[in-house]
Amino acid sequence: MTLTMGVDLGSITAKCVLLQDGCRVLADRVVKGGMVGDGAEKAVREALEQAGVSQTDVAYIVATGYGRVIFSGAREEVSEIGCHGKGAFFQDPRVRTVIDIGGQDAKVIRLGTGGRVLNFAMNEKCAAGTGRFLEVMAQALSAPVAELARLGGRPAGKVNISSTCTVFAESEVISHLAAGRPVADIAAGIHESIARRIAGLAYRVGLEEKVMVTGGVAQNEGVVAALAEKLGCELLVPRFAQTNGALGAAIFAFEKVSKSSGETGAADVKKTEG
Amino acid sequence: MEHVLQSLLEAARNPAPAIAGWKQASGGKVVGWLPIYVPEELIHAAGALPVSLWGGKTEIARADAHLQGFACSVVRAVLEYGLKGTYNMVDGFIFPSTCDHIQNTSDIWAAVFPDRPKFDLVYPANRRSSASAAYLEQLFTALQEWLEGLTGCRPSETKLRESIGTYNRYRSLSAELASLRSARPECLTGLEFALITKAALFMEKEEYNRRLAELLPWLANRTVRPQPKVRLVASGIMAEPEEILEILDELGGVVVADDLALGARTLRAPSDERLPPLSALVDRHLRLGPCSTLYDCRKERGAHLLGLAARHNADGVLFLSMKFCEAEEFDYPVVKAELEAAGLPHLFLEVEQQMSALGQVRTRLQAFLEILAQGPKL
Repeated sequence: MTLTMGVDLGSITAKCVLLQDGCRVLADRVVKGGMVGDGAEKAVREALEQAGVSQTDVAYIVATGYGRVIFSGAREEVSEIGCHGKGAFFQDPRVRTVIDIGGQDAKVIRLGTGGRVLNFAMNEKCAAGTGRFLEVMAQALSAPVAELARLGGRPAGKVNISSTCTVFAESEVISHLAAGRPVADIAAGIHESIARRIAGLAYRVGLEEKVMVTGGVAQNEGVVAALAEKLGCELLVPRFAQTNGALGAAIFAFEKVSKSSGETGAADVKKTEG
Repeated sequence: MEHVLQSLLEAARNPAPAIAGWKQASGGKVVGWLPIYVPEELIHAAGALPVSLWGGKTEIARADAHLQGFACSVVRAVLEYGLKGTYNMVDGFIFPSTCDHIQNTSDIWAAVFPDRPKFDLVYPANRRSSASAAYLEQLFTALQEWLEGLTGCRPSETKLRESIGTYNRYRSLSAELASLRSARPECLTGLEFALITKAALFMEKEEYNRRLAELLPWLANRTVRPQPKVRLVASGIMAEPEEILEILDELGGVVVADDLALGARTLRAPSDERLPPLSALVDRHLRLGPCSTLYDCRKERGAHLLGLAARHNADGVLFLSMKFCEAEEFDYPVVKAELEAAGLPHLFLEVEQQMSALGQVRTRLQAFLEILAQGPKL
């Protein structure tokens, strides 16, 4: 049995996945506090506890995410693009486009055969179209960010949030509230606004089905529905949506170990099991 | 020999002391010129020190009173340095008609510094017309007269020929350095190469040539890093801020050839020394390119990049797109389509001289290198 670990240090959360033999997820944890604080250590500790193993049992750790450079616990670091591609392909090999919406950036990744990354696009320097945008808007609505999807669930109409800039968009939301527009309509407008940014990115890279949405924002059904409508295609939300990057990192770690020890790869393990 | 290398790196990073030193020792004038193409030979022959003003990493505060935030970071930095007094040692300024940003900054400059000598080098947009050469000859004559007014020196034909020879030598030595980078990328870091190239823009060329000629044989046997994982062609205005090159160095990516304005673009096309001096400079200007700022209906940049990649065995192209540079942005869609059609991967990276948050840049570069390290598409 080979245990590998992927740690994804985002701007808002730290994610950790513990993988057995490159094919079975033993633990997946999401912890508040990404690049700053002890989020990474906590996520690692919780994952080890969940699986009931100790750190010395883990053969190889790969880090990814914005904090990958500052995380000292890993043997190697791989970009988020590579890890999200790897994780998405593992979760569903039919996937050709991955849309990852994280805390401070959004990416669209095109995959080729065998999960090979062909091309990608990332949002520009600002927070428009990211999880941080959702957090700021939720704050303006005095609602927890997890509640936004529910709030926007049954809108009577949809307000238009036209500003790209998060700060200006917040002012727009406040103006709509002051004008007495229903919260549901405003929340729907917020989801629509993110979907617009992401769709723009997706068109830049070129969209090919199947399309998978990953990252923390994938948990917001409102954004996913708005995005599906904009792109005019079905969007897959995998079981490990928020931890997809960490999962990809753990698979990279496994590939590294099996390459150096001459062990069989994940695909072969699956075959022998089947 | 390490100290020769260090002296060049220092000259590029902190040019002011060397310029001030030259001025004090020679009693000559310093002529500053903005990007991209200026016949430096004329300045050199007039006994003045040509110094390039290509902006830099400085906080923009004063310049914001005159230029919008959507002006390119190079002209904003140039104006900032001017207002801060960094250019106080510069006696005259040349503004070529490279782009709207530089042309309009020239007008703002005139309003802000009405008493500082300035020459607008208004190039013909069309370089294929029969009138282009005659016009350029008049333009360069006018520049010579302006330089004479500034320096009190009208160079003889012999002196002009000497200057042209010095600059041809500078370009051929630079070409040798570029070949070395491709043949033995382990001999220099990417940042060292960029700084050696940049040092030339602030130094008297005889001195620069002497140091570079000394350095080349030593570099041919030097090893400072492992063989590159990925070989790249860099294209754009300049590879700045320098952290981008540091990140590339760290990730194992090496620029083995470039199509940068602050690089190969200005170093191409040696002057024909058989021609009369002014005609040689005119002829050279007509042969420059491909460059986003030189009109070319044949759009040869894509083919040029593909040729570079093939000759230098590069895995991909790195576009360092200066933010708000319309010239580069207009070129990009054409070049992008050509590279994609040829199956050569590229990364479009938007840069500004003053950018400080480089986390996203690192992620993009790393992901691009990871893609290239997978090898060619199956």
